[in-house]
Amino acid sequence: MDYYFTRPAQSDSKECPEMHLSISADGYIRLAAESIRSIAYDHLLSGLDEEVANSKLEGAVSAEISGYTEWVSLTTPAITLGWDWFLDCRGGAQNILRAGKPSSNVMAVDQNDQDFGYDVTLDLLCSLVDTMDWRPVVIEFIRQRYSATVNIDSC
Amino acid sequence: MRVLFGTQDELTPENYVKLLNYRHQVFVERLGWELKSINGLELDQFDRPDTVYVITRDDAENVTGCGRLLPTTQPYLLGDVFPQLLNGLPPPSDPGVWELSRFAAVDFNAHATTALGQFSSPLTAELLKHSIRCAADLGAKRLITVSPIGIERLLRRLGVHAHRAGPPMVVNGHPIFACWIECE
Repeated sequence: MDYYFTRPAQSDSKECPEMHLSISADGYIRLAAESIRSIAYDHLLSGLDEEVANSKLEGAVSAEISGYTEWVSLTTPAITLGWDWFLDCRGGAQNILRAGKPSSNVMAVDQNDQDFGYDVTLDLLCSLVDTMDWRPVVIEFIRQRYSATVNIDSC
Repeated sequence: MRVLFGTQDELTPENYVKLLNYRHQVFVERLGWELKSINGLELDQFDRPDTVYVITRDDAENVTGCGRLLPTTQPYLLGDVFPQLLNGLPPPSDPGVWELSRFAAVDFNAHATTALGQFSSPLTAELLKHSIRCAADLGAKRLITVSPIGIERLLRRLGVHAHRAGPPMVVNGHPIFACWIECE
């Protein structure tokens, strides 16, 4: 079996302060909210949903174009951050929007190291993703990956 | 829908054969996974006497879904084949952690399928619920799985509390990851 990472050059640059990360027995990496926001995340891979990638795309409605994107921190252990997206062409403009909440292995904790909980952490990650300059990275990656089959510019 | 649980010895030989044939239809024929099948029956080194199976059947006794539960105190798929998905954490060896694998809910006698290819939405929720309950009855506090990344969307829709163990990796062209599922 082969496996690989695909990492384009672009990344969402932020300062990446030295910090000690560890994985709890339940699989979470626990961090203060500020730390989660301050970490740099690198684009790992993006793709189209299978039914989109496998369909004959001539004549496909652009609003049906959706996919996923994966980002990872440069820390050890790594924080994984992934979310779904879709292409929105309403009003004639072309925009790629986050769909739903991100998935991750991080749990935000307060100043007393108490968990904020699953839902609050997801909301924090939504805010984080919405500040990241991920759209041009994903669009370019999808263009390169599916250049023979997808016209992501069509609206 | 009828649900069956048990080890190979606890299932009837007929049900066990139907299960392995179903797995062949789903994972080998439909999804194209590179798995070994003999005479249309799919099984591997993790199909052992202590392996627990969850099977759903329709009224005509056709298999419509399956799952495989393995204790992490014995060899299991994630620990033996995909430990790199655990982000540096040693594979759990804990009676409170069980692995769920070969999970599929495809009713070949119906026509509703999702893009994930191994799930029919109406059956998936029931099968997952029963798999989690079965694991909890066996002492599991959480499950670990190796899954395609699209499964998260499905789990969230089903209201299942799940989170990643680490970054996904691409295996045979498909991004997969290790997923924790709480048995709550």
